[in-house]
Amino acid sequence: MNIEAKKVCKSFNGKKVLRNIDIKIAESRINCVIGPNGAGKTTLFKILTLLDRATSGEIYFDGSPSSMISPQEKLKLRRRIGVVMQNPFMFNTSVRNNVAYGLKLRGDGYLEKKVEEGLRMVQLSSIKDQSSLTLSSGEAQRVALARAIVLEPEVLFLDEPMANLDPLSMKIIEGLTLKMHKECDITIVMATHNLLQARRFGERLFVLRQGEIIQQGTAEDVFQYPNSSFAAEFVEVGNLFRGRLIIENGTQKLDLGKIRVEIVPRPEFEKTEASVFATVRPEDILLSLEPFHSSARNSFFGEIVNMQDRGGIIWVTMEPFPESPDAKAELVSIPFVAVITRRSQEEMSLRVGMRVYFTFKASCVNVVVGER
Amino acid sequence: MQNILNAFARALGLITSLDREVFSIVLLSFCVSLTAVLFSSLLSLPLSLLLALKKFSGNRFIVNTINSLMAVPAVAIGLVVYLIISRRGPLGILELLYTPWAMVIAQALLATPIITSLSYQALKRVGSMVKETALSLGASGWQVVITVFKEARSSLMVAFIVGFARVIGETGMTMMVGGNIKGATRVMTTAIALETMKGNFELAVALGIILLIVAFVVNIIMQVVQGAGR
Repeated sequence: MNIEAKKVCKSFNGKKVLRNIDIKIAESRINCVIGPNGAGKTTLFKILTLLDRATSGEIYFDGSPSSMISPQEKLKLRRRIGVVMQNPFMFNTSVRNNVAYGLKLRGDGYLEKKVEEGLRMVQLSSIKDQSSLTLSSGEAQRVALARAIVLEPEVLFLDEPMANLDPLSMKIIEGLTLKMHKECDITIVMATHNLLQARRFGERLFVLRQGEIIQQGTAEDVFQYPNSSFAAEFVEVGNLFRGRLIIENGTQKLDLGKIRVEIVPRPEFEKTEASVFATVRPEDILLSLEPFHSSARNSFFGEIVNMQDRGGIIWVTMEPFPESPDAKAELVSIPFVAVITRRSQEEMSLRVGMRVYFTFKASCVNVVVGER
Repeated sequence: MQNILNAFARALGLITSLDREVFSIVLLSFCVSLTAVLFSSLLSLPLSLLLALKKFSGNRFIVNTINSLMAVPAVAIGLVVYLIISRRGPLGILELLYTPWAMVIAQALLATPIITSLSYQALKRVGSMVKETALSLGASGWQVVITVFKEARSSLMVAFIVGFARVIGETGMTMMVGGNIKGATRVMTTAIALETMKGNFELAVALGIILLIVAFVVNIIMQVVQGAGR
């Protein structure tokens, strides 16, 4: 099913919650809507799944505007869409009856078999007769997922499916989502504020901030080339710099104050002296104890000011010395972050206070002019 | 003291011997009050569902009005019903005054704000979540309504029981519109009032005991229902 939102706005009591949302859900892909809490993800989901109406704008299903279709058609459409809400509501009955609910509504002939299968997939067959009011939040989330997938939807919306879950439930839900996507070719739309998840799953990403989609594209696009400082900070780009574009010796550079970073020349940058921001992924910065001879245009000498272990990967924060250092030169307080493995750290015996060289290519600098 | 004990003994005798007069009064009480609550529910249920699930201008106003109507004294309702159905009233032609139907109408009017308000609170609590979940699983409009009622069943049951308990114990209003006519509109509360004033304590005490038992049973059912809903 093809779902598209055009100029969708939503207000509650005069407060705008969604503004001019233009998105097209990529079919047969995992779509991730990322944004902090309160960005409007749940409201957007409710509108896309026909559980709520937009204040203005239109949702198109397979090209047909949803406001023009009859209630019967709307019901048929809703029955092709599966939804799992962030804190799913459980009907006051057994786990089994909760999973059977949607099938009963449709008068499905294979009810028993499908319910069994659904519960088996979320590994809850053993508690099928238990009251659903006694479930933990992880179990409830799994029952809600089973309740949605037994209906064999073409598109599955998951609103923060793994927020605050125990590791087992998280693993089951993650695994099942990927399996459904691969084996059944269903379109998945997932709202999350978990970046690792978005990066791992998301084939198409939408960044939502204060009710506005500020960037959309592939995971590669969004994580490598965030188009706003918000997106950059939100996707933890690691290195976010603000500076001015300048031309030095015929080369375009980014002036950060006491240091200058070389960038890939672009004609539109030539006439501008605008304030811009730039990002560099930590994994694109190379760390060495000796000067590193390569084609990379940016190389700095500096000192390690912080090291943070993030589960086997170490985030190393360095500050550079000014480009023309004198004997009394002090560090420039512009932190650069690089990632290294624990093994590299041990091999190089890196520690805070050590002096190192760090190098990166001009092509790794993502410059954004005219931030939204 | 001896008087009271004698009255109690004779009252128990009336109950255990299944006295015809006592039981016809009890039966009429139940018929009138159950019918009243049934009619009241026919209005209260859709109204409370509408108020709980639909957002429209005036929603808050209607809810506040219904809550205020709960405080209207029963005797005022009795007076209004009396004026409307009395021979010179707008519905005088129907000749309802001093019939069981007059009592049903008055009791239904008394019960409606109570049942609507309690049902509204119950449906408001779970309504939107149930509605959203049911819709997301492919329910049609009617299937949503049935699911919402099913989920709120124990709280709705409590609303009916409270409404029933309120009207079956009502005296003044029922007497005003029913007239307390022997064999026709005499119910438990009006009979107790009359027989007490006549000094005929045995019938009054017998009916009083039954009324108390009704109150206890209703209370127990309510607690069981509330327990089951948890």
